[in-house]
Amino acid sequence: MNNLAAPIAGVRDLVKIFPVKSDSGGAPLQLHAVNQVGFDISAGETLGLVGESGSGKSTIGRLLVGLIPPTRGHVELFGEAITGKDGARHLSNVRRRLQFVFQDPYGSLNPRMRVDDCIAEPLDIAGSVSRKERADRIIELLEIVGLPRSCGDRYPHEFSGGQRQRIGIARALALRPEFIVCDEPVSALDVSMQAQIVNLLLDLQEKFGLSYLFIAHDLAVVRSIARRVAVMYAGSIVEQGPRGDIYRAPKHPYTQALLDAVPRPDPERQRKPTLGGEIPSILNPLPGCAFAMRCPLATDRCRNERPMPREVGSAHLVACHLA
Amino acid sequence: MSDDLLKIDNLTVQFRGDAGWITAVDDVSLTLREGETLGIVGESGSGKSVTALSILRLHTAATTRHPTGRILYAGKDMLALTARQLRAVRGREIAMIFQDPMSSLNPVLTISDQISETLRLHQGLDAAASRQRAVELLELVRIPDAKRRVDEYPHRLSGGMRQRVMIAIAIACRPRLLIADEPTTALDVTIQAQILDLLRELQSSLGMSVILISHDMGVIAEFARRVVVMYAGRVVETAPVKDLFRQPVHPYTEGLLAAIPKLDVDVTRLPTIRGSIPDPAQAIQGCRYGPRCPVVLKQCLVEAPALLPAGPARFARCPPRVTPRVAPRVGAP
Repeated sequence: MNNLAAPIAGVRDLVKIFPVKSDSGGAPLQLHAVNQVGFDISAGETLGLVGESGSGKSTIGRLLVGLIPPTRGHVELFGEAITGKDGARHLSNVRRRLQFVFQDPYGSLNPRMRVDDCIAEPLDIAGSVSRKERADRIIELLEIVGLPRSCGDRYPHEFSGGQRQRIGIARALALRPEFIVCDEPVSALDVSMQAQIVNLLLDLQEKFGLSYLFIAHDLAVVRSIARRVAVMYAGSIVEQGPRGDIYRAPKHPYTQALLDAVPRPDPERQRKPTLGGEIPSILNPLPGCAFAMRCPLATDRCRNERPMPREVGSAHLVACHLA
Repeated sequence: MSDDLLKIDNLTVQFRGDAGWITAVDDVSLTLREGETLGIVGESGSGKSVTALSILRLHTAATTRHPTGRILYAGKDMLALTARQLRAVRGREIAMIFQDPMSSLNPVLTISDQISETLRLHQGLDAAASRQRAVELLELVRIPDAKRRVDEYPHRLSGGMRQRVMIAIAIACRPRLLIADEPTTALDVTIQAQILDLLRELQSSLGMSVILISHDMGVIAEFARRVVVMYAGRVVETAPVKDLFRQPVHPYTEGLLAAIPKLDVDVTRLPTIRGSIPDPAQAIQGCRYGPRCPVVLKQCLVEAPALLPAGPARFARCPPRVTPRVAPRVGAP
């Protein structure tokens, strides 16, 4: 873990707008999936990106590794800008250092490929490995993710969800990446499997100094893996900061409501009154704060003027006029 | 006991597989009293949904069999009812809501049509009366602007609103028993809180008994009064909710509670349960949890423990032990 200070990934004023056909056949609508987002991820660090459906968290993951181009804004990886004039060339320079782990290990593994071939496919595509090196690396990768060697000549469907996610992780590690975007990697798994995979990701981070962007809707899972957390709502990051600040002393009314709404495994707990309303449409959004419609504290200013992130503590940013 | 609304005795459910019958539910017994809220919790393959679907006989008859067991609902032997008798119970006395409201709603019928179907079938209402009642039901489940929404199609509604429509259909005939199978699993957490509040409110205003099936220990803790924990087709533990969370008796319950990511404290590593959930097609001798259990005894791997009393109003499928229980192993895959 050298170079602790330099960010592995940096994002500034990121905007992604998807054009959507209008129901009435008029001009296309603009779906503001990501609306002026900024954050950094340092070497060896995990940033947890948490939000409900449609908050834009998965879109950010895809923008960050160059799977889709942003509408506006800057993305920098390993010090190279992958957006802008030389973006494509810079992206191909750094591509081998990035990987992606998906939610659905069923969907991301080719069912007709043996597990050893699934794991070695990135090596095959990158080229220039001998048969001996390839075989050794497969054995090494299986061991790293806690699968027996004998798994190599079986097929993905023979494995449980948790084991398939281990295979997906082995494959992601094949080219020794430094930065992995994990998009809901444990959401499809049962609780007893979730804990195993979360611990595996933590072990791998320690061993190889990996950096993660860990995207999830489950606040408790995020707390168990990320040291820094960003909370998204309707395309914006409403609050980001160290894990302790976000969970112990959340400043944004949405973060507070979200934490209150999660049922705890404690029958004695009385949940606070429920947040009303639903997540607003991100088609042609209104001016002002996206949360204003549901916020118990909203003022006229909130409805008219969009709050920008402000520092309220050390590395703790909140986008709220009232915080 | 006469005040049991529902009593399941030694129910076994098998499905036809490629190589013979696969046991999805094995010797499950449970009871539900009038007005009670029972939670059934378990991971994939635990048999919680299969058990619930058997109550209303919603499995495909040709590929399902019940080699043992009895399901008594209000004195009726559900497994022996004729198709006609069954229709009189489904939707009228026992209603059910599911995880995914979109696949339970018909996309080409309006909300009004779908609520009216139940009302016309069971209560013989005419078109105008059933439409009027549909609007009232939508108001009851807090759908804003119900008069307009009643004529819309399901795809126009959000996931939370669709689940409210499903609940409106379920309560249309004022059922005595509502079975809710993962009703909030597909919803965002703030919407989940709204739906749980709504269910609780309706339960007390309509005096329904509720069976809530969930994989989420948080939802169970918040909603249920008594809990049945299932694992790999069997009941492993049943207890009043506070006792279960304060002091789980079965090592599986204990391991599962420990493995839940914590929202209110920082942990460096989560305790894990070793191994994976067993494949239902694979026969396991003895206790199903034996191969994963951190405190397994030799006898557990030979003969499955019986469901034995384990305290006031509690049962567990785990032999009483002399040695103190150790915590689940940490970090082992």
